[in-house]
Amino acid sequence: LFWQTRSQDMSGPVTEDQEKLLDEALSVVKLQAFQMKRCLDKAKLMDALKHASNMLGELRTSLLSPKSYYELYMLITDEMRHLELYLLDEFQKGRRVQDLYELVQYAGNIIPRLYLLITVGVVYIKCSEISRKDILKDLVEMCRGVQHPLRGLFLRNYLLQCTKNVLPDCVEEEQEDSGSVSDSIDFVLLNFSEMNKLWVRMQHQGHTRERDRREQERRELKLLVGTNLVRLSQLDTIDVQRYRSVVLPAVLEQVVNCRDALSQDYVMECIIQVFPDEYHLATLQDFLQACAELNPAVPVKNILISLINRLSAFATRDGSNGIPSDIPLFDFFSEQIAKIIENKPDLSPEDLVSLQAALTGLALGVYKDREDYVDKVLETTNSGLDKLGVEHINDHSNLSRELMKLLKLPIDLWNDALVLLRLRHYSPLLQRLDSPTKKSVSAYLLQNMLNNGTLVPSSEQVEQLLDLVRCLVADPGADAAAAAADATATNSLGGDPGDGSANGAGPGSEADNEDLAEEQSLLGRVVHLFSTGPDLLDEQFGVLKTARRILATGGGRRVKYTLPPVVFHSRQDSDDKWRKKCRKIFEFCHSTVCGLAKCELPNLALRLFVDGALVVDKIPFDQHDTRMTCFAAENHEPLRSQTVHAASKLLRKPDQSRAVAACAHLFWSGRPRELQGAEMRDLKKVGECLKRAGRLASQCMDAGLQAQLYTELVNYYLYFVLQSAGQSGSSGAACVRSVWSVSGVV
Amino acid sequence: MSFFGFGPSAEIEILLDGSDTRKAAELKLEDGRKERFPLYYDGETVSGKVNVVLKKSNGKLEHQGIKIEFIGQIDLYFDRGNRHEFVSMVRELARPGILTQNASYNFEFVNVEKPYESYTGSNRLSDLVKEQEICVHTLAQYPDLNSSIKMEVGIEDCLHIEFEYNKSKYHLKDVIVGKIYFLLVRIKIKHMEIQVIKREIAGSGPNALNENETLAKFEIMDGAPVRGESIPIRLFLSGYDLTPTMRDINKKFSVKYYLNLVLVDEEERRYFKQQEVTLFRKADKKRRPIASNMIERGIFHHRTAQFGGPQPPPQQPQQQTVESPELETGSTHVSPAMPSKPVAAAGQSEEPDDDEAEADDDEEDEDEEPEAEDEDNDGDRQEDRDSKNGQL
Repeated sequence: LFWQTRSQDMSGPVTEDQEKLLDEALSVVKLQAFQMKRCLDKAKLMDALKHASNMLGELRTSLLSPKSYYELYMLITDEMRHLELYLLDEFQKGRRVQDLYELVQYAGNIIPRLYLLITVGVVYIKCSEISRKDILKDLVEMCRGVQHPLRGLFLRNYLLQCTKNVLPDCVEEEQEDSGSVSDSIDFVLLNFSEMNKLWVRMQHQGHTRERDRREQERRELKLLVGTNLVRLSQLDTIDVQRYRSVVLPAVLEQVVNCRDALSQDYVMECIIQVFPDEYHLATLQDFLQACAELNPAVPVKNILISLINRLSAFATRDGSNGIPSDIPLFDFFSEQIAKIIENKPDLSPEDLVSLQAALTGLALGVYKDREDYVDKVLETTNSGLDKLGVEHINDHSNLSRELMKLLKLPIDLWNDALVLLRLRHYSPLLQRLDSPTKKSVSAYLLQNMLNNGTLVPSSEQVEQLLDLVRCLVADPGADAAAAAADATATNSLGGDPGDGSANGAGPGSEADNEDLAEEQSLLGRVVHLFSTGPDLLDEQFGVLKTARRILATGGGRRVKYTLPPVVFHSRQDSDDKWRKKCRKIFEFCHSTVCGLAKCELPNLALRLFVDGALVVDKIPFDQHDTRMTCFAAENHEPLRSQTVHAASKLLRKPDQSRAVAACAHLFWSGRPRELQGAEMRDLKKVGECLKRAGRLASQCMDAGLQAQLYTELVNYYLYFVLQSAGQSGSSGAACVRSVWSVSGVV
Repeated sequence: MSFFGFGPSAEIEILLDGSDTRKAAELKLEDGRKERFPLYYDGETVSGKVNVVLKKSNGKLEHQGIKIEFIGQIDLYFDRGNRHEFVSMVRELARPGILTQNASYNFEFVNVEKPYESYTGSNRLSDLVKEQEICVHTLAQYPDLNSSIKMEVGIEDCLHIEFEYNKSKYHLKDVIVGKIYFLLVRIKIKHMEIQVIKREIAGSGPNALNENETLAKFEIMDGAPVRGESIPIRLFLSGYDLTPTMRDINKKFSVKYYLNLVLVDEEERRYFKQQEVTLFRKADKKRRPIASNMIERGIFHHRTAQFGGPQPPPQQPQQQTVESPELETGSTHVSPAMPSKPVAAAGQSEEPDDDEAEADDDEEDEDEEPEAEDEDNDGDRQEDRDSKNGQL
């Protein structure tokens, strides 16, 4: 009971005092116990009882803290077992001690008297069940004499422990004399309500400044009270009927009337935990009714959440019959929660949300196909938050956490984002969150889609989805137009086109960019799920168009990640059946890539073009002329020279040399439009490139590397010589000359 | 004595019939020792044999007659010179004459009336049979009218309780069953106990001598109750050394018993209410040796001890004590707000019995008369107490 908390609490001198007092008490107990056992060995029962009484007298102390008192109690009750066993043994041998039950009541002090009475009473019951009913009734009544909370709680706990296995557990008809289960119920219920009263009374004793300590002490003692309910739950004869008509009403009456928050909180929770689910189902209305009557300080939502979770688990557990159809579980809870929200104007928004989350869990667990339930809950939540005037939800606030939990629930339980899209109130709720949390929920949703391979088959759905996760698609608060403006703005700012980070707004940091990259890659991956299936190519195209339209609003930083998948995805589907569309598709790709190019992402655009060219190459596609329309003649030229320029700017000389040499091909095999598809074979430029490469190679310090570069260069020359051999002789000769000049250098 | 030739030259022996089978009872002697004596009941015949054994085998004893007397007498400690005989019977056993040999005479006091029970108390009262003391127990029938004692008492705005004892007359092996119901509690009560107090009253009128003795202290509650609590009482009288109540025995003395309900608060102030109960002796019955009997004795259901259950209306006059104005008087005097003496003086629960008994004495003396007149009015009597101890 106290082991967990032993190390905490109590500080300094108090601890020392307690230890000293406890040690003294324990040593008295040990001595008296020893003498008691010795007297028992000599069969001097009366003397043994006297020592037992002395020992029990230690429990009269008012000086010990609950923890120390508990230790003392444990030792003493342990020793009392010896007495009980001795008496049982004697009684079973037929040496019944006359009037023992009366005899122990001569003790002048009530605490030892009642402990002895309980011990002897239980021995009587164990030996003969005839008077069991009477004895039980007598014991629990006589315990009223101890009104001191701590001592009373432990005394009654002793009563409960001792009678553990002797409570009548049969229906009335079977055993008239020795008592039936209703006697047991009366017994435990009375004990329970008395213990609860004592427990509650603890709160009101002593100084107000010690309130926290008292509450702590009371928490430590709560199990004593709860044991009563455990005992009730162990009585097999208590069926649903009896539970509903006798047990629960009594427990609820006690708990509601005590008006103590701590007690109500604990006992309600206890009821939920110790009794079977079927019982809860049968008594739901009563229980919920009681919940509404609790002290306003009781966190009712915890109780409800606990109950809902339990019932949800029950409904989904294997082997259970599920929730009986005649119990409108959801409606019950939904009404009840509405009532609570109504009755508690001071209910915090996070409590409201966590209540609704539990309700969502129930709807999802028990009524998997009732989307309307979930939507209803979300609606209530939304309007509830409205009523509470919640406008801004800070990150890291409890409310934000709770709302996130709520929003993740349907994602987890349905594993189907499409259903979410059908909920009218999911998105508004999501949009309430502050940006980082919103993003994290959105990302969670996307990840879930990826894990489950949820395909998004229609443009409307794509639109809805992207609208739902719009925090990822575009900058927060920016609509499409603003995003576009933003994109232009970043464009005009310029910066290194190869590095996305330069495009970031002012506060953009490294970490932000990492996050952004992660989110956007996720979004990019999801694009691949925008798929209608193989037979609906038109729709597929439409879907992708929609996706592009929306994704394009994301601004430079995002499209970098999001549009390429669109491109790739669109190509992926270009199989045989789709030939007719190919042109359209390529046009689509082209414009997309152009869009990228506009966003100062030429490298990416280039790669995409190259990739596109590869695809075009592989498929039987007769409209090749379109493929390079992307490169207009006017930008082809600068592009080539720029490439060379870039190549010569590489860091290491060998790299420069190799790159520049490779650029020579640009001027050879390029097919600008003015030549009608013929290779341009600009020998002069090729020569320039190679010469430049040769010059760069000559600057290389490492002789071995230099030699290798020259060898490579010779290879290039040879290639071009061979290529040009069939052409005009003059150029061929020039080439050969060049080759030789290089060789000469080598 | 025979050495000098006079003095008893014969030994006299009284043998009571059936003395080996007769029950014996213990009586305290003057010096506090206990001795066992043959036990007789009222109206029982006392018979036996007197043996006169001559000291010398052939001597002779001249006598003026041989008589046997049955005497009941009361000795009062403070009045040792005077013996008060309330029974005196004589049987002539032999006419004056000379005994030459051992003689033996039968005697019989037929259905002798023994109105009073043997009693040895602080004031030393005893029945004697000359030469051979016997013990007398008077038995009483279960009283026809044995109403419960029920009363509501309190101190205004401070403490209101209702208590009930299931009977007003108990036999010596009886069990007092009762209940205390708390109607109002504004003080922090530490514990509550029931005391059994014996009061001996020797003499009468202004010279009457009172002595109180607390025979039992029985804790019935630990801790502070709140309003609405009801605390069970079950007190087995057989655990204590009690005698029947004696009222004005031969106009010489009385022995009365009181149940004193004492509540002690956290500042050791004591609040109490005394209530006389009548004790009587009931004929022993053979106990059934089965357990259920024990249980019957040991357990008293609250239902059976339920107060105010099927109580007939005539009980109501007692209830009126509730409205008794004295309660208010009492409250002004016992109000914890005005302690005039150090609390420790009489408040300690560990104080010897005498202390408290004396305290009671002071107060009781003033009210001796009304109490003697009408016991049923006990409840109405409210006395001032010294400020620490409040009589409810």
